[in-house]
Amino acid sequence: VSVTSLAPSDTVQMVNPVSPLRSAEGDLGASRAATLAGKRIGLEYNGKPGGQHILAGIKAVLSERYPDAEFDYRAKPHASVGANFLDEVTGSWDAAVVAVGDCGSCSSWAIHDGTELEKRGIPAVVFVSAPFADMSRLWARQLDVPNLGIVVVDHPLAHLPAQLLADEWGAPRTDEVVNLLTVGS
Amino acid sequence: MTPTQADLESALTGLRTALEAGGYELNIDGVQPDGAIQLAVVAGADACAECVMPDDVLAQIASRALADGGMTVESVRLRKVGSVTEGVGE
Repeated sequence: VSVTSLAPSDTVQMVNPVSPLRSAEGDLGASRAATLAGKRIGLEYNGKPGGQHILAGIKAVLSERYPDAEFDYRAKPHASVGANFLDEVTGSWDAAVVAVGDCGSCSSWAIHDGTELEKRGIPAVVFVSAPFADMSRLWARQLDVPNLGIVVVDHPLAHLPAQLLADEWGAPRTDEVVNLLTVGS
Repeated sequence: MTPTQADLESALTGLRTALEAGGYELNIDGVQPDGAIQLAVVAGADACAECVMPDDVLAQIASRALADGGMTVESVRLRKVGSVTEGVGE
């Protein structure tokens, strides 16, 4: 990569050649279990406001549906970085929910985390708001997990009340999450 | 076959939507004489620095989109225009 400065506010960055395009047919994603009963479910809050409340709504329904399930909540310090605990949770988490991609940068990192979890054998689903859904699917394909589960929510959501996000944005999407994390989806 | 402007516009719709939500415009300069596909990411008045994906990610997403649209991509050139304010956008 070379960068040529033309003017303070106008630069050209050359990416040549681009990184190799991966096979869209390949999928390095994880295998699925039949149920989340008795499983250890990771809840990754990526630091984007609102995501923690969506996760709370999902957790509330899953806890009721699967009383023997365990939950491990992890928060990233910043939405625009990769999670630094992926190696740590490998072998511990049986499934994962990531929330929420609500900007270009944080969506790309949320998808990065989701695909990395899948490659580590952990079925994952990522919440992304609507404007970033298409680019998120493209990015997941480029990262070798074209079938990554993506749950699309409206945009914006950062300033909505916590209870609203939990009860109306997270909880009602639980069936979709379960379907994406288990066999038969 | 050299992609038309319409081909490029169609393939990059999803990327444009994402950039616009962060306060950026995506201008498609088109295929350059050296074969590179040049894109201009233009920061709007409300663009925030933290909202746009890293350049290499943006280039890879563009390349993926163009390839999925049936276009052969040898290189993608990003032209960054305008300044942005620091902060977390929506």
